[in-house]
Amino acid sequence: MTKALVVEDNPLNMELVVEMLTACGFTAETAVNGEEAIKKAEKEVYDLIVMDIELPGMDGVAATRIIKSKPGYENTPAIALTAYAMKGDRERFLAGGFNEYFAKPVNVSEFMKTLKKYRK
Amino acid sequence: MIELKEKYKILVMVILLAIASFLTYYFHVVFRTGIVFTHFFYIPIILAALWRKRKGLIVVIFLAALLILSDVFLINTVPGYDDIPRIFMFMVVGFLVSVLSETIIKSNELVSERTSDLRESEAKYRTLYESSSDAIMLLDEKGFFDCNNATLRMFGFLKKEDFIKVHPSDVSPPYQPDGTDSLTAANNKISEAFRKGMNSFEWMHRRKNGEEFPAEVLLTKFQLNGKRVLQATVRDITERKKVEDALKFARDEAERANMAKTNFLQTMSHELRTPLNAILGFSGILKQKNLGELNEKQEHFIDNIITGGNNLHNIISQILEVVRMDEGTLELHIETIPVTETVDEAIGVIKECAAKKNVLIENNFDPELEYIEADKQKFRQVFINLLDNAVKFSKPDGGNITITSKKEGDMARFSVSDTGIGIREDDAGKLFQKFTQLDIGTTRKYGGTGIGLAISKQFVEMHGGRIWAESKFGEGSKFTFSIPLETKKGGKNK
Repeated sequence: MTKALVVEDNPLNMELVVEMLTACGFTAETAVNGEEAIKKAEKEVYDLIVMDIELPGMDGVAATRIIKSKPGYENTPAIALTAYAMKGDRERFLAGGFNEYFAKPVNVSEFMKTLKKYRK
Repeated sequence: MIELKEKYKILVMVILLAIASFLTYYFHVVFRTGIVFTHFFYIPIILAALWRKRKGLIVVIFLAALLILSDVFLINTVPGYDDIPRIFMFMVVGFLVSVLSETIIKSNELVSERTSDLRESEAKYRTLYESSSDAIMLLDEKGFFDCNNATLRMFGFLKKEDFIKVHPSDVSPPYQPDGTDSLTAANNKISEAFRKGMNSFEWMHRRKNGEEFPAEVLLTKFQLNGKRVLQATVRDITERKKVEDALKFARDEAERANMAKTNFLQTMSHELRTPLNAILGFSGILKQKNLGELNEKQEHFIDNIITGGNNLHNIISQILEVVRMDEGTLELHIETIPVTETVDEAIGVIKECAAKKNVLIENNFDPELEYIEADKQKFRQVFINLLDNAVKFSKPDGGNITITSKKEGDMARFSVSDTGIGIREDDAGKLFQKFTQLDIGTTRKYGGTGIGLAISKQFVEMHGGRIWAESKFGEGSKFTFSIPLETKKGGKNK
C-alpha cells in the first residue's frame, strides 16, 4: 500500500484530499501544520507528500524542504496545493523540490490522474 | 539735441561762405583776376543740398544765391569762353568739398545715432537687468563682482557694495544637503561652468538673516573686457520643492494603498478559493462514483453543483485578472499546449449551459494545428469567455456554435461563431471595453460581469496577437483571434 502524508489546515479540504487518495489506492496520514508534518515524517518514511502551501506558522514550502532533507526522503515525490496562483509560483514550487503543483480549486479528475502516477 | 546740431551746421556753413566770399573779393580786388567765378564753387553744394533736402541748408542756398547776385551786380562781370575751364575746375572742387562735408556731417550723425542707440540699448538692458525678478549676478573665480536688485532682495542685502565682496559659499549654509561642504562644492560648480560653458544645478542658499532656501542656479560663461566671467541666475524654488514633496508623498501614499489593495485581494482570492475547493472537490468525487452509483437525478444535481462552482471560479479569476490588469502585473507562462484538448476543456466548462439553451457546439479544427506555444490558462480563458458569450447571447430557441482553428503561416487563428442575437454596428466599438455590456438590461437578462472580452483582448494582445469581431445584428456573431504559433517568453513577439 502506498502511504501518503497530507498536510492541510482546512478540515474540509483535508477530507477531500484524503478521499481522493483513498479512491486511488493510497493510505493517508494527516497533519494540520508544518511542525506536526515534520514530526510524523521523522517517525516513518512516507511514499508521497501532499502539502498545502498556506499553513499557519511554517509554510508548506519550508516544511517540505525540511522533510525532504531527512534520511529516506531523497526521492520522495511532493505535490503542492495552493489557493494563491501568483505569477512565478508554479516555477518556484517546481524548482523548490515539488514534483507537481495544483492550484485550488483542484480539478478532481486531473488530481486523481496525477496521483495514480505515484502509486507504488 | 539734433536741432542744436542743425543750427550748428548752418552757422558753420554761413561762416565758411562768408570767408569764401571775402577771399573772392580780396583776390578780385587785389589781383584783378577772374577768380570771381569761385562762386561756381557754391553750385554743387546747392545741388547737393537740394538733393538731400536738408532744411538747414535751404538757408545756405539763399545766402549763396544772394552772393552770386551781388557778384553779378556789384562786379559787373559776365563769364566768357576763356573762363570755362576755370569755372569747371571750381565746380569740381566745390563738388569734392560738398561730398567731403556731407561725409563728415553724415558720419558725425551716424556716430551720434549709434551712440544714442547704444545708450538707449544700454539703458534698456540695464533696466531689464535691474528690474528682473530673477536674481542675476556676475562672478569670477574669486566671487561676485556685480549683481542686480533682485539679488539684493533675495539674499537680504541692502547695498550692492556689500554683496559684491561675497563668495557663493558665503550665502550658503556650511554644508549642502548631500553632505559636501559648500565652499568646495561651489568652486567645483564654478570650474565646471568655465569648462563646459554652462552649468545648471540645484543649490541650497542662505539669506543674510540665516534663512536657508533651495534654489535653481544657472551659470553661463562669457567674455567681459577680455576676462572670462560667469553670469549666474538664481531662482528661489521653495514653492516648487513644496509641491514636489507633496506629490512624492501622494505617490507614496498611493503606492501603499495599492499594496494594501493587492494584499487584500490576494487574501480574498485565497478565502474564496478554499470553500470553492470543497464544493468542486466533493462534487467531483461523487461524480467519480467510487463511493457508489448515482441515479440520474443525483448525477444531474451534482453536475449542477459543479457548474455553479465553475462559474463562481470563473468570476473570481476574472476579478483577479481585472485587478492585475490594472496593476500591469500579468505575465505569460508559456508552455506547449495541445490545442484540441485545451479547447475541449473550455467547452467542458460551458457544456451544461449550452445544452440547457439548446445550443450545439461544433468543432472544425485544422489537423495541422496540433500544438501551440502559449500561456495555457490564458488561452483557455479566452475560449471560455468567447464560448460563454456565444451561449449567453444565443437566441431563445437555441442555435449553433462553431469553433474553428487554422494554421496561417506562423500564426494560429481561432474563431468562435454563433447564431445568436448579434451585435449592432454602433456598439461594435464598445465591445472590448471593461465593465461595459452593450445595454444596461443585458446584465440582468443575460448575466455576466462585462469584463470577459476586455480580459480576452488583453490576453490575446499579451501574446502579440489580435482579436476582433464580425457580426450581423439578429443573425449572429463571429469572434476571431490570432496568436503566434510560438509566443516567446514574456510575450509580445511583435
